[in-house]
Amino acid sequence: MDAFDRIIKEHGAMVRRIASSRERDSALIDDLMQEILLAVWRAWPGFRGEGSEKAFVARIAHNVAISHVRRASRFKSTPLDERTPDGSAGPEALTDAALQRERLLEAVRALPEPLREPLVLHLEGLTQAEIGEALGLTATNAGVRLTRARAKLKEMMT
Amino acid sequence: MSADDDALKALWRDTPTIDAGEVRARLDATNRLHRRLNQASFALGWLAAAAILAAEVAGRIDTAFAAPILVAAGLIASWLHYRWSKKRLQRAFSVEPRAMLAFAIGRSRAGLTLARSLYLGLPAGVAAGYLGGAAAGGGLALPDGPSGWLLFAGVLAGVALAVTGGVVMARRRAEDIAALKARRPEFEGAP
Repeated sequence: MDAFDRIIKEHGAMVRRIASSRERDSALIDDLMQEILLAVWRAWPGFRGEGSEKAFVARIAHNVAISHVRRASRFKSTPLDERTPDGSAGPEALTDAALQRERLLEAVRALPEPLREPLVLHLEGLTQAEIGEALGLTATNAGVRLTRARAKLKEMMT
Repeated sequence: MSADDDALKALWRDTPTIDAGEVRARLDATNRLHRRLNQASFALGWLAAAAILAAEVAGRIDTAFAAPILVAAGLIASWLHYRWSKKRLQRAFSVEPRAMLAFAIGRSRAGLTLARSLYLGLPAGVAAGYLGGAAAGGGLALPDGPSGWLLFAGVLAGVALAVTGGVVMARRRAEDIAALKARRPEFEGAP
């Protein structure tokens, strides 16, 4: 397994979730995910290991997503809640979890860009410093945005 | 962090894992396609340059070798520009969001200019060259012999292809610019 296979394995799910926070259509999510991974592949030789690998991938994902322009899908879309759910839960819990996840995704998508990105990266488990690194902000600024984003999300989810 | 926060994170990450092998295969296929398209475009360009050079050597056209030199120089410039933009794009990934948005708009504008030169500049250049040659040679000259007609048809087909491609590309780039510009207020409102 080469370094890029490992990156896909370790950060691919994060990249897909970042793509899902911007696009609703599954084909467009796949397109964006592919675009991000191609960019990671091209930029990988420039990674000097100064920051965290996750923050590096997140930054590329963020920058590709900024320049990504929505296009009409050539394929039929699949609603998010029709995708394969986690098999460990019961059928009722599955539906409930899927619905909750869908609500969360919709709320995240509805956030303005400067608030959405820090929140997504926070949900991905990045620290404030890493969020700052990924978005080109100071850790304090990232923290301010995150606080606003969480307040806004809470308001939207209740 | 609070329990609510942890629950939110768990909910966020509760998504099906991706098939890394399948993703890798798709990326490899996309990369191969890009490489082949680039190689094919350059091969066609060099083929055209060789055809023009052959026509010049055979005396079918007379531009004092300016035409093949111009085509070859254009191809070399395109290759250098391609390498340069690839490196520039690589660097762009590490800039801050507003600069990235400005970069993306700039890239789309460059694409629009290229598209316009394909569907406006190229036919205008070819027509000007033909009419200029006709004026210098004392009248509109038609190709001489089957190979001359073949070259003439090839040039016309190439121009038609460039115009069609240019129109499609220009429409896409204009849409991109409008969509990217619409995103500006989101970033301007950033704390």
